[in-house]
Amino acid sequence: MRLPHAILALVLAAAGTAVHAADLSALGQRWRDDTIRPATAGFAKAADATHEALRAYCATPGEATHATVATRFDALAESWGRVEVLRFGPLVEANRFERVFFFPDPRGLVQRQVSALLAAADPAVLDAGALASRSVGVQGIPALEHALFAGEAAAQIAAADEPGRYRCAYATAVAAQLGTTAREIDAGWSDTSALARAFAKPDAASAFYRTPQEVAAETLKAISGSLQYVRDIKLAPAIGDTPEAARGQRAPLWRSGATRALLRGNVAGVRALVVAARFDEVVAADQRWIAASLRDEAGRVLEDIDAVTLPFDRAVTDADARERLVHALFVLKNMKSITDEFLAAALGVNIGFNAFDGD
Amino acid sequence: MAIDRRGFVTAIGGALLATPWLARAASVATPTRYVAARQRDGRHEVAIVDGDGHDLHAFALPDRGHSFAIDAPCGRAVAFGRQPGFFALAFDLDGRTPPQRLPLPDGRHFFGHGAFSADGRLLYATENDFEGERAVVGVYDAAAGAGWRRVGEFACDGIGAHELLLMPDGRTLCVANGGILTHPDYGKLELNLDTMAPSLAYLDARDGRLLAQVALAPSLHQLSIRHLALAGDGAVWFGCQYSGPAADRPALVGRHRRGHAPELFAGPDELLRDLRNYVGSVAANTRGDVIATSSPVGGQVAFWDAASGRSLGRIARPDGCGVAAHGQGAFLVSDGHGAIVEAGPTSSLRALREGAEALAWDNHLRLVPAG
Repeated sequence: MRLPHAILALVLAAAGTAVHAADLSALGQRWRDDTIRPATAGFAKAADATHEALRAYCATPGEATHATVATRFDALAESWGRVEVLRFGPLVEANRFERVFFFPDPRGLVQRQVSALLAAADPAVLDAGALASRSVGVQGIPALEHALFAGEAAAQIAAADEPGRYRCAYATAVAAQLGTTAREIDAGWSDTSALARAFAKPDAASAFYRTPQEVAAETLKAISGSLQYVRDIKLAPAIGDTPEAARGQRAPLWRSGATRALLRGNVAGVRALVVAARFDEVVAADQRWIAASLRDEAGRVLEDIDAVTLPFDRAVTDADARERLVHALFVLKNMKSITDEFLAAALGVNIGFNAFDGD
Repeated sequence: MAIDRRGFVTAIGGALLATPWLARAASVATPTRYVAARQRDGRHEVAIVDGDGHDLHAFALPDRGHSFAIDAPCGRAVAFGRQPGFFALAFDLDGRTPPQRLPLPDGRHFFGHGAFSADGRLLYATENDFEGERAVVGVYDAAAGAGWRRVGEFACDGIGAHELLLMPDGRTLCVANGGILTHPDYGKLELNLDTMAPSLAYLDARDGRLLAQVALAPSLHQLSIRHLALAGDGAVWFGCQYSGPAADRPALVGRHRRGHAPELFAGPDELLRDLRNYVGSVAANTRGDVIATSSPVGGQVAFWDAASGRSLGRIARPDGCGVAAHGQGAFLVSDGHGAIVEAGPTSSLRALREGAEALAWDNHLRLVPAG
C-alpha cells in the first residue's frame, strides 16, 4: 500500500516545540510484508537447508559434505541475523530468542551443557522434538556451532565412531529444532497471528498495537536496541579498548568463522527496516536526510565487516582488520544516535528518558 | 568477600538492637525535602528539592544515578549509581560538605538501591556478585569517621536484587530479588530470561540470615519484582516489570504480609493494558493508606487502596516515574520531561515545576522523612 504523499501538515504545539505529525499508518504493513516476513521465511529455509546438509554429512562424513555444512551454517547465521533485529513479538514469546541464540554467554554455559550432553550420549535427546524441552543452551545456533566446529569436532565426526556418530546426530537434531523454532517465528508473523495483523493494521481495540505510533515506536526501539546490541554486546567486548585487551573469543560464532555472516545479517536487517519504511514519503522534506544517512552508514558498516576476512579471534588483534572493526563501532554508534535523536523525533514517536531505558 | 555471620554480629556489637527504631528523630523540624537523580544539559546530577519541587541545591554524579538511602536524623544520604553502578556517594543533605565515595570491592556493582539501619550505623546496599551470579547486600560502616568501610555482605538467596527496605521492626531487611541475571560486560542485558526466579527475601539485618522467602506462582517467573514501599500497616507493596511476551498482561502490583501468601492486584483491564507491563517506582503516601505506582513506559501513575488493593484511579504523566509522598494524602510525581506535579486519587493534578527541554528526572524521587 502506498501512501499518497501522506505528510499531514498538522503541527502540534507540545512543550513549546513545534512537532511535525507524520502519518505512520502505512509503516507496519510495509515492515511486515516487505522485510519481516521475508526474513522469517528465509530463516526457516536456511534451517531446513542446514538440516539437509547435516543429514548428508552424517551419512558420508568428508571434506565435501563438511564444506556444504559450513556454507549452509554461514547462511543460517546470516538469515538469523536478519531475524534477530526483530526482538519483540513472536521472537520473545516462549523464549524463542534464547532458544535460537543464547548469547552472550559469559559463563560458557553452551559449551558446558553441550559437552555434558555429548558425553552422556542419551539417545532420547535425538528423538524428534525432544530438544525443545531441554535447556535453551543446547538447542540453538551456538550449540550447533559447538557440536560442529569446536576443537576436534570435525575429526571426531570424520572418525564415524560412536561418539562421532552421536555428535553428528545431535547436530542434525539441533538443526531440526531450529527449523521448528524458525517456523514458529514465521507463523507468529503470518496473518493467522493477531499480533502480526495488528502490527500491519493497528486497531484501537487491539491488545497489541492500538495506533501506528505504537508500531513505529516498537520498531524504532528494535532498530536502536539492535544497533546497541551489535555494538556493545557482540563487538565491543571482543574488540576491547586496546589490541592487548582484545578477546576475539567473546565474539559470537568465532569458532565457525560465521561471526561476519551474523553481523552482516544484523546490519542488513536494520537497513532493510529503514528501506522498507520508505520514510521519505512520511517525513518532512528537510528530514529526508535521516533515512538516507542510516542507509549509507549501514552500507559503511557492511563494507567494514566484509573487509574483515580473518577469523574473528585473530581479526581483533590484526592491525588492518581491527581498524575496520573500530570504525564499525563508531558508525554503529552514529546510527543509533541518528535513530534515537532524529528519526524518532521526525516520526513523532519520541520515547521518554525513563521509558526508553528503565530500571 | 564473604561475611562470617558470627564475626559480623560481634563486629557491630549488636548496635542495631541497642537503639530503638525511630528513636533518633531530630528535635528541630526541617522543611520538606526530596532527593532525586536527574540529567541536566547532558550531565548527571543529584538534586535536593523543596516541597514544591524547586532546587535547593545539586551536585554532579560521575554517571547516571538511580536511588538513595536516606538517614534523615543525621541529615545525610547515599546516592547509588544506576545498575551496573560502580559508584555510591554519601552526601550531606544540606550540601555543606563534599560527597564522599564509598568503596566497592572487585567483582561487585551496585544495583541502585539501599537503606540505612535503624540506628544509622550501617548502610545496606543491593549489589551484584556478577561472577558468582548472585545478589548480595553490601554492608557498610556508616558511623561518623568510619570512611564507609565495607564490613561484609549478606547473600540475598536470589539474583538481580533491586530495591531493599528496612522493615518497621528495624531488624529485618526486605529485598526484591528481581531474578534477572546481568553482567556488567553486557550492560543491563538479561542473561537468564528462561530461568528467572524472582522473589522477596526477608533477611535478618544483624547477620543476614534468611528469615523468609516468598515467590509468585511459577507461571509468573518472568515477572521481575523490583520496587518496594511500606504501607502504614507494615505490609510490603511491590511493583513488577514483566520480561515475558508483551501480549501477556500479568498483574504488576502486589502486597505481601509476613506469614501470608503474596497478593497481586491487577486493577481494571484498561489500566493494566496502559501500564505496559512495567512499574518503575512505588511509594506510599504519608498516611500509608494509598500506594502510587508509576509506569513511564505507559505514561501512567496508578493509585491503590492499601487496605483492600482496590484501584483508586490513575493519572496520565508521559515518562512519569518518580513518585513520593506529598502533604497528607497526595504524591509528587517527577518525569523525564523535567516537570514535577502533585497528584493523588482524590485531588486534581497540580503543576509545581514546569518541564524543561534539557532536564530529565530519573526513576526515583525520595522524600526525606521529617526530622
